Amino acid sequence: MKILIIGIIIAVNLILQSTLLQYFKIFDVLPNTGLILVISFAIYNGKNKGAIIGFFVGLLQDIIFGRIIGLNACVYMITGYLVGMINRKVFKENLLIPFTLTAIATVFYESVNLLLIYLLGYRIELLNFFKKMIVTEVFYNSIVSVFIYIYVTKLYQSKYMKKRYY
Amino acid sequence: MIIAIAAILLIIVMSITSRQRENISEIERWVGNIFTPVQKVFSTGVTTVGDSLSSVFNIGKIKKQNGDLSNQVEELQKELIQLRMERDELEELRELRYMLNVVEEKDSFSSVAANIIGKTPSNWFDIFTIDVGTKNGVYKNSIVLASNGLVGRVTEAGDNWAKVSGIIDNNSSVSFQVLRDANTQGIITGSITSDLSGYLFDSLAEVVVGDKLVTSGLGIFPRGILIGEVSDVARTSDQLLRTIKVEPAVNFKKLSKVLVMTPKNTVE
Repeated sequence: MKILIIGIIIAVNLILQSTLLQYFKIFDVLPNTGLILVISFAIYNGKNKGAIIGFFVGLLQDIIFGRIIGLNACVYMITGYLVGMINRKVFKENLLIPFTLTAIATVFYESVNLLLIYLLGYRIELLNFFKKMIVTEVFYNSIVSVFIYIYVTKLYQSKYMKKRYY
Repeated sequence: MIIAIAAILLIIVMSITSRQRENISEIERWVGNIFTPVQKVFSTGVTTVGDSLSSVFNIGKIKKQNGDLSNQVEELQKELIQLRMERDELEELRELRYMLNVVEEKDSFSSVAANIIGKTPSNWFDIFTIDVGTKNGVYKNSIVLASNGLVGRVTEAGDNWAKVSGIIDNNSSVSFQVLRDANTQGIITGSITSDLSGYLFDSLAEVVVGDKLVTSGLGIFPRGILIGEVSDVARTSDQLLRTIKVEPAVNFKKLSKVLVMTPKNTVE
């Protein structure tokens, strides 16, 4: 049940990101709801499941839209793992948790992305990278993350996620 | 530990897939085949609602646009008459050329219209998927156009979907020539901020703001497709290169329908 729900959420998220969210671009930046979902699920599920969820979110995105298979899968997986490590150490009800974690994770995600894209021989522009990825995307993601986190929290308190017949 | 191994495996997969590939793998094909129909339904709904909403909000703008357009129609009609006269001359010249047995270079293309069904969630690249694929005769390196200019090329094609990489993409380069002077050529590239910029091969060549650029026929794009207009001309600090900024003819933000052209001789 749990796996099914998370899977459906991941798939629907990708479809929304590629269609509806394109209308909500700020300064040509799209909020990375995939990353936020990985963070929210990782906070509730711990490092191993966080890494698995991150892997599948990234892989799906790579296959449907990516140019390089594995790029997003790798970065999301590492992000999910690292966020999941603090799973037992935080108060999950505090809304500052997703906000700060998303900000840090976005910087981390984009930096690893930059490194990998650079190593694969693509052209990079550092100034634009800071303007677009670090400033705009960090703010946008952090604010959106609070709303998504509230819904993920509700989902985890509901009865569907407590039954464990999968 | 497992994570480290998985990451290394993924990096290997990345290095394999980042090279030029002829065909996509079976898994990609299937995931794409399952996903794209759902996406298509979604994007049709979203575009319909989005378009009608934006037209409600932009009524004032539309009225102004209407006025502008009817002015433009008048101007164009005048131009048309002149061009008709020139066309007759051209036909005469063609006949002369035919008599002299000049070999004609003629590319024949098969074209198919397509809807954009999704744009990439990544902020790094400019990739979108369209709802035609190998079943409709669209293959890798097919050329994608909009009504008023060049959009990009197909990078991967599935059964009934294909990934298109736009010319404003970070990794795309297009060779161009200036419409008014075919000898002035250069290369433009995209960027992560979706700007087009480029340089001229000849640093002494004359380019002014407002010049129209078309594809030069080097590379996979056929000659003579409109790319955009020069919006800024500058020199690099060492005076060796003349760099230009280009405003693309196609509005990539509002793109929803495209035309895909496949060269006929590459179809197996």
